[in-house]
Amino acid sequence: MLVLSRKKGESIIIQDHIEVTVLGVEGDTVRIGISAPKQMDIFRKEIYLSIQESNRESAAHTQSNLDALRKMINKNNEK
Amino acid sequence: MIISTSIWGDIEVNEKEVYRFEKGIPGFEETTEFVLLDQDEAPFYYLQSLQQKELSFVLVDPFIFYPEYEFELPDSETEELEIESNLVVRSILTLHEQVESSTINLLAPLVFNPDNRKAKQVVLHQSPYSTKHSLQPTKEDETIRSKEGE
Repeated sequence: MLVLSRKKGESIIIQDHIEVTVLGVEGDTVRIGISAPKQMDIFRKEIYLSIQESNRESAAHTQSNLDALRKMINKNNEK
Repeated sequence: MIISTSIWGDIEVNEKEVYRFEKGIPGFEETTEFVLLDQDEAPFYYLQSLQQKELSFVLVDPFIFYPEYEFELPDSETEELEIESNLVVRSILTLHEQVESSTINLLAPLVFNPDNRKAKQVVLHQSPYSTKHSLQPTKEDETIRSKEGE
């Protein structure tokens, strides 16, 4: 991990196209501005992790879960 | 074409139903080719990986469960998927043993472009939704809706 210090208003350039600027610091919160190409996805890490986790959980469905779902669909269709 | 799946064995799929997730799906970044299956069980659909037969997702049409569900698809995503007018939105379901307690991921919908068969799981920023909404809307969700309506 690269460790460096920046002051408010100073930036970091990553691979020509990504610029990370420190917009301000308040207590232990740092506001960061990121300019990056549009196709580059930028996420808060905890949100990205929660989506990964949710997807892994969703992919782990079992035959019995699916059967239960089918039963529910059939029941609804009968109504 | 014929593909292998853990759930249905070998099945024949229409190539028109094959979608490419350029960046994979978070948690499964290496898997980019999926087929969107409609097994006459609407509003439920299946997303089956072409590369890994044991990888599949159960999807739903979120608007059936949450008629007031809405989000703004950022221009960057519209451009990336080259969406002109046609798009399909599906949400991933997390199935539970008690099927009624299964949940829908409204925070990160899957967006499909049927015209070029590109697709992506879009993570919504600044959204009131989460990855785990009940299949049956709860009071809490009603609160979100009324807040949204303000």
